[in-house]
Amino acid sequence: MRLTRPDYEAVWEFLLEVDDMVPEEPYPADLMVGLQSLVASEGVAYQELDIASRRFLTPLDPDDDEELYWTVGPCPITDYRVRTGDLSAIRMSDVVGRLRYRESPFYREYFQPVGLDHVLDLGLSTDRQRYRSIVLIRGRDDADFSERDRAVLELLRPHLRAREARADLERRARNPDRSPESGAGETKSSLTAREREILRLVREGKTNTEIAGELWVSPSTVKKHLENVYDKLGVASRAAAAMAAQAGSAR
Amino acid sequence: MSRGAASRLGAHDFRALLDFLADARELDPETAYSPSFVGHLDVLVEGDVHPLYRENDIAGRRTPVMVDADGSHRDDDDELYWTVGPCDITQYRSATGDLTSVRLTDVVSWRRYRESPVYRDYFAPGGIGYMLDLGLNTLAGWQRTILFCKGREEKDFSERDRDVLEILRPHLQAREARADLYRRLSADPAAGAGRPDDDSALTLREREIVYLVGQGKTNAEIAVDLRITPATVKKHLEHVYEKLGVSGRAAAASAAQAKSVD
Repeated sequence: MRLTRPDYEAVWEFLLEVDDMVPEEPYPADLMVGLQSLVASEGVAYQELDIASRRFLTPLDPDDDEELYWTVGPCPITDYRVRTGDLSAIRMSDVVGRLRYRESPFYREYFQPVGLDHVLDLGLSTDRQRYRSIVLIRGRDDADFSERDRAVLELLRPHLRAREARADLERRARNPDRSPESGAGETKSSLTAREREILRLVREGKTNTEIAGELWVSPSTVKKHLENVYDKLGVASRAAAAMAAQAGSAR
Repeated sequence: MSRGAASRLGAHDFRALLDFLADARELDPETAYSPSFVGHLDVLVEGDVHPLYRENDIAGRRTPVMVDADGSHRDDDDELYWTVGPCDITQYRSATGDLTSVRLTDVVSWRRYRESPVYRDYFAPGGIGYMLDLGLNTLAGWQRTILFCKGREEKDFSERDRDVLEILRPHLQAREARADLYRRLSADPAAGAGRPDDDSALTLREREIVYLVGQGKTNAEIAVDLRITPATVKKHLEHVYEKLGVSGRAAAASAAQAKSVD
């Protein structure tokens, strides 16, 4: 997607405004308002969902029916996130066909009665239990979100992540014993240095035999280490382990 | 950030980081790694340190970019460095792809380092003993890092220093993103407006497949999930390998993840 100069200018202006907002909270109300003018939408929210126990961890609007949401949902985007781990900015229409969406219980019972329709979602983090995102919603009479809207939202990602990290710092400066909110890095901390080293080589696409050659251990030792890694990360293959570890180290 | 790191740092460390971030906002937001910003990094780490930002062209064996407090310049001894080097941290990063903040002493034994040509011919004459390095990117043989050097008469960098640098990462990424935005805005409006984004970007379908690969699924399983044929999955994956410049499923999954995270 090619953004135009006015788009970059709008994002730049938005970031200048955001600079002056309270650092203790990553997503204050005025940031949400700014977001709504950057990407026109009827509703915008930061949401945190506990998939495993089927509940919202962030407060909902009084007129949102949480019970109904989990009966007919979760929303197809959330479903897609948890299934694939993909966090890129996507629209409802990217993950489910128009017709299938319109016929789904989620649309007919949850969105349609209140006139909502199009969704654009920026994934912030996910594992199999939790999902966090910024979600923008438009009404049925509006046009779907554009490629431009997707690209603009994607541009914001590093800045939102920095705001989260900064809010975390503010919290810990006041209360250093409190552990960081993000649980993603924690599984990795239980890996030993050797296991991490082996994982790095796996990420390079190396076979067990090649890794064994480099580390002067036997291939069966490499295999044993990898089994422990799978166990600790809760994954079942080399590729999944490589990815889970990467996700942990990047945070 | 690991749990261990959190416990090694105290309230004053977090406060120092916040102060640094507040200062950094005033320091040339239009350039991610300006001399004044790079120079100011020294307040984060204990001792008399010399911070610099560098870009290493691994395949071309040169260091085309080096910035420190004194300015942006090519290292005069670039040729010597690449003849006797590169240093063990650079080698470690290109071998493993690991970007975590590491000390020289984390990747090579002190004794082996002291006997290495890069130490004897390059670092020792310059009075450099210890190093601490934060990896920013190693994709495609182009390595970008923040490097702190210290004299041999000083103490080695501490675990605390490592942790502080690691906490800095998301803020550096935001700084890079902002500088990138500024560059687009300051470019010639006609040319700048139409600058196409990364050609190597994966399509939504390709990303979906890569993520399923990352879940440990086989091509056959992915095909069933997505209601396409295994041959189509294979074809998509070939495009992914090509775009990411990798040659295996695990490498593709992790490269794609790195890309989406950067």
